Amino acid sequence: MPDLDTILQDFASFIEEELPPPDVERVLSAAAMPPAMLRRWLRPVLVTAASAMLVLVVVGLPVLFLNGDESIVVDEPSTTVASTTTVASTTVAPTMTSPTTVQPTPAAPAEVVPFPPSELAVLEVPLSEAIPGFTDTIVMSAYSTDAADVDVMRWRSSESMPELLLSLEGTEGLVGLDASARWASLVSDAVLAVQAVPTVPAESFRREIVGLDVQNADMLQAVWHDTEPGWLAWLECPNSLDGPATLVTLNVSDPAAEPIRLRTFDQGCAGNPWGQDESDAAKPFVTLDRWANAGLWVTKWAEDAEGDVTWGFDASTASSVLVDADGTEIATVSGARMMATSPGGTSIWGAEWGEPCFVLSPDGQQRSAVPGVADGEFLHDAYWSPDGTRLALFVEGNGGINPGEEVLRVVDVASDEIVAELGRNVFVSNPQRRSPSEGIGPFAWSTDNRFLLYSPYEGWDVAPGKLVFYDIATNTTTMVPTADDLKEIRVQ
Amino acid sequence: MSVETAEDSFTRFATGAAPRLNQALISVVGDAGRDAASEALLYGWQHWDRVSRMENPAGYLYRVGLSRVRRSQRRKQNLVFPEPPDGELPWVEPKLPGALAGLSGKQRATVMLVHGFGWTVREVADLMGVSAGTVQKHDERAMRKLRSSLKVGINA
Repeated sequence: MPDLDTILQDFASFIEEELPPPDVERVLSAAAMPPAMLRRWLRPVLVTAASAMLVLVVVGLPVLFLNGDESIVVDEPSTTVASTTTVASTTVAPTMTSPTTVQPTPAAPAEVVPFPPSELAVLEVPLSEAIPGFTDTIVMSAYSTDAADVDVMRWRSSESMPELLLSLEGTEGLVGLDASARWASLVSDAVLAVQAVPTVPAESFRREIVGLDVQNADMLQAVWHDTEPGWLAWLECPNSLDGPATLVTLNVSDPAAEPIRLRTFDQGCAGNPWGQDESDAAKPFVTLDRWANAGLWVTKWAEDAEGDVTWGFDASTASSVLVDADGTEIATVSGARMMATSPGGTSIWGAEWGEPCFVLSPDGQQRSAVPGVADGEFLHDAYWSPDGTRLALFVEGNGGINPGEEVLRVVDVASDEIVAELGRNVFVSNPQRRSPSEGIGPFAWSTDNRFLLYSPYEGWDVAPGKLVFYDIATNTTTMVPTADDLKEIRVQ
Repeated sequence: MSVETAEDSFTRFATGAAPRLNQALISVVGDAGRDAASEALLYGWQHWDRVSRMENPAGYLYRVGLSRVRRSQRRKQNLVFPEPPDGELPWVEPKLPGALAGLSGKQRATVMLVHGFGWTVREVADLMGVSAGTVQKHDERAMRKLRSSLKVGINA
């Protein structure tokens, strides 16, 4: 049998032949029809959820809603939707959804949660009753079901459903939320921008264009400080190839603050991922990974044995440096990628498959084994609890784990003892899946270090979103439907 | 000196982007990806004044295409690829479509685009709006699964 690359290349050739690209002229001629209007009836969310439920109640055929006509010109709003939108805001109760609780072992078939035909979930009870003991407020971002917009939502534990705080239209990419979830950073019109997240829905907000003073420059990457609210760092690149990357920081919560240019990295932009020129691929460049209390972690990527620079692909070509507030490189880690940092700046690093992961002290000088990871096990992801005493580890490997399966393991850092472990129910949406290493989306600890919140991928990424609450105290998981395509979760 | 019209600039963009959108969306959702690519391009033309000013219009339209599929196939879990013909070239491993269906959408997109269509990891990361490290993780897992499903060794 040929090797796997050849098999995939042959299949790709077959696909190309069977399903050729769309004809651009036909696209243009299709658009000659009357101008289409985007379906904006999905927002505001409260009205939307209620209107969709009314359709459910009145029509009784949710399938029609879910599988509506999606012809190539799709954007004329239907009269059904328009009429229900105006009257349905008080109709909430009939289609309320209960959370699904699954005991961790043995694996039981998960109940299929009837997902409301809306972007967001509505529970029968407040979140704090659905998840006993959970008292935090969740702020989460998600890609909207309408095109590529991004929504920021808040779910108070006292409420039965989230509320929409902010909807960002025309966003080319959401970089993330800051430590306080009061600021969202995004790429808009080719510049890095930050926007205040309102404290109440529909509150007026303001947008700060951080990158405006950087004429003729592309914003390469940005990260928020792990724990300091409002502190943003990013790398700037000039448009010329082979140019240096400039590391910049800014306290966006201070209106008087000016960007601080810490330092430059030679040739840092040579591999600018926004570049269109293939010829710039085989050149070194840098990426900005994390801003921990100990400093900023920047990774320099070099050529591999074949002379290619493959950004993020091969950790053996990576050299990560810890940059302090003066821009000085105070530590270097080669051949590994960072997975997590503790509130105090201790970090966890993973290497290539088969290579051991390790813990690195905040100053980057001391290495030790990762608590709770046995020989032969592969660490996929790690998350430190807010108080720094526990680690949540997604581990795949041998021992008591079936090959190819992944467990969620909670470890006490000081004692190295396993506090709790989830086996096949890590991916509670389909516990029957024998090899559930599909991956984990956004993840967060509760502020009291008791709950883990995460969104598992499903076989189809486009499936309705689910948020899993793993209660370490009771060793149970509870799943609630939530917005599709969650991008980030912050717990306050 | 002639001034490029919006139609000219869209045509120039779409001519280059259409094959890549097509490849990416088919990799994720199968046959339905071609229609999704058409709809995404149509959306792009209808909103060209805004889309044309974006940093990564192809990545934006990729998400538009996925949204279209999500609406129309919200509950459908079946992934359909064209049936490989027997004995015809290019030869297609018969078990591959089934093995691909066992991957997540992002895993499938990663292996198809990187190993099948020859994209760079950066190109995949840009299109998906994720980091290259994330693409790497998807790729590692997907290739392991495919090797296991197809009983293909690393050097076989």
